[in-house]
Amino acid sequence: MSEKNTENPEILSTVLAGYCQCQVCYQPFNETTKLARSLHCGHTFCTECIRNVQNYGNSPHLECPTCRAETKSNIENVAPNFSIMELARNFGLLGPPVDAPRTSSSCCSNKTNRDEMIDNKFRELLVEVKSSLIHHFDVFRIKSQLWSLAEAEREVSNMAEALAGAVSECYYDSDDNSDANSEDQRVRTMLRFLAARDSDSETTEDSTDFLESNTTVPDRTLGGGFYRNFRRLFGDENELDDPGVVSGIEEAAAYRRFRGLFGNDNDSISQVSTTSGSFGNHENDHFCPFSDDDNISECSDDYYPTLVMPETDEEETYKSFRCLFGDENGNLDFSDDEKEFSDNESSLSSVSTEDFPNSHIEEAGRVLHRFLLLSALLNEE
Amino acid sequence: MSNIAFNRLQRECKEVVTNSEISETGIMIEILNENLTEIKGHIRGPPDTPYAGGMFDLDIKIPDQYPFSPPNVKFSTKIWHPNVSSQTGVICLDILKDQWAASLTLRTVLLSIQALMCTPEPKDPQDAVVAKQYMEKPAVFKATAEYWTTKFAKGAVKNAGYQALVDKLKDMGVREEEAVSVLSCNNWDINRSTVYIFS
Repeated sequence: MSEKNTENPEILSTVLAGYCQCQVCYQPFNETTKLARSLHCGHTFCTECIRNVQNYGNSPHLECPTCRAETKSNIENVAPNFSIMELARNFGLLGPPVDAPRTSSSCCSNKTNRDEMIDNKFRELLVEVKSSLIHHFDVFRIKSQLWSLAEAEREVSNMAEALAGAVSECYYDSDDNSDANSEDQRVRTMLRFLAARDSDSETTEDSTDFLESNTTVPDRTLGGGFYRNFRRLFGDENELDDPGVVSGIEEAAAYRRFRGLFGNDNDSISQVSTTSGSFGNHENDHFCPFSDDDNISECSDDYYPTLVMPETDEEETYKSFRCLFGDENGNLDFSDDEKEFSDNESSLSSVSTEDFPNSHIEEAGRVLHRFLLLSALLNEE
Repeated sequence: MSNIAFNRLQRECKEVVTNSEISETGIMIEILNENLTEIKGHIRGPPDTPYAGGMFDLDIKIPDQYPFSPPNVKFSTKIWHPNVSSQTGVICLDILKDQWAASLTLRTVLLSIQALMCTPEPKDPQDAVVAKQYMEKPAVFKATAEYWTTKFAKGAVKNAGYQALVDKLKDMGVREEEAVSVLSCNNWDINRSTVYIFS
């Protein structure tokens, strides 16, 4: 038998290659992860297979894959088979060295880095859309006085489409370096964007009827979410870092910023910036913040006459504000003044949609509504 | 499936296909899916046994830790054998359980099952009814095993008497496989089988 093998070099090389590979995984030995090791019974296997036998085997000891003899030690104490390694090296039958596999901590680190990247992308998105939105609304406010209703609707629809496109485009960029799981996430996000746009188109259809447009007012449970997103867009850096609980004072500040965007030229921006530091009563300021309980009865007399005898421009702005942050009936939720507010329900009912024929401000508010929906959607992700 | 398992299975499948022993030993492997997690095995019934002339199919499922965990093998062809469940095809074989070793291959597994068909072990049975018949009524066992080979594994031995009994139960509305199974378990006593079915 041995004579026959030595006479045929081809058979000899095949036999040698067989001896220089592991009999379990059929891979050549190498000098890193597949070092040849001999169990105590003398049978030789690579390091990786011996470790797997130890991990997955039924026996508490190392059991030989060939003869089932037990090796009463851990893999660290199984000696390398230097003869086999030398033989393989000299005949050029060693496999290529393989680097150690990645540890689980590096996997966790990669996941954390991806989450941070997505979060940073989201913050960049907010800054970018905030600037673009302020610019668009300034132009919109000026031009809206000249537009017909049909032109206003078309412009609003284009603006909403541009916002949705910008949001989805920026969001997808953050997935470029992600693994295959982000593909499912991208598809899921796309479907939700389509759903949001479909709901927007339904809203647009209702906008042709002033009375029916009230049905698109969000319900009470969504008001808080809208308010938080509003502050995230238009608040300063400190407010973004520390979103607080909704209160009367904060609501008054938000209202002034809102009026600065959608009011006419009489509501100057300088006036808003002047009063932003204080919340006391002002001679020309009809909005009355309920900073504490002691002033409720005193301030209410000044508050409700503005509803009974309104200035047209200011009331239009106020209605858009209620459209965004109010409940189903358009009432603002002043929890501190709940009882007295309900007592004056009759005066509130005197305000109706027909008193505000100009719908431009409402359209602008509706665009902001849609963007806040998209922001809330991103926030959920 | 791990890289080791995939590479090894590729080689094992080549080994079985190219082995010149196939025509002599009568074992064959058929790959069912590309990732090699499900494989169909074929074993020709050994000569000089009740299973001669039959071709038996087996379902082989490869676990993730293969070859450090044994494959899950069972007959998909019904067979009358003390160490194989006549209902489910589960095999009682030590190398498929605690005596598995990582150097065993699909070829050695199929050869071991074929050897088990030659030499049953009734003292360590998978099917107690078959084992009892094997030990107490060896002639009935042989005839029954031959009948099952003919009925389910394309065997050649005909048994007109047993077929007539099966036809009687079928006339009573019993499904054929159930009729064969009940008659075999009751040593082909038509009265006891009828009572067993309709009681």
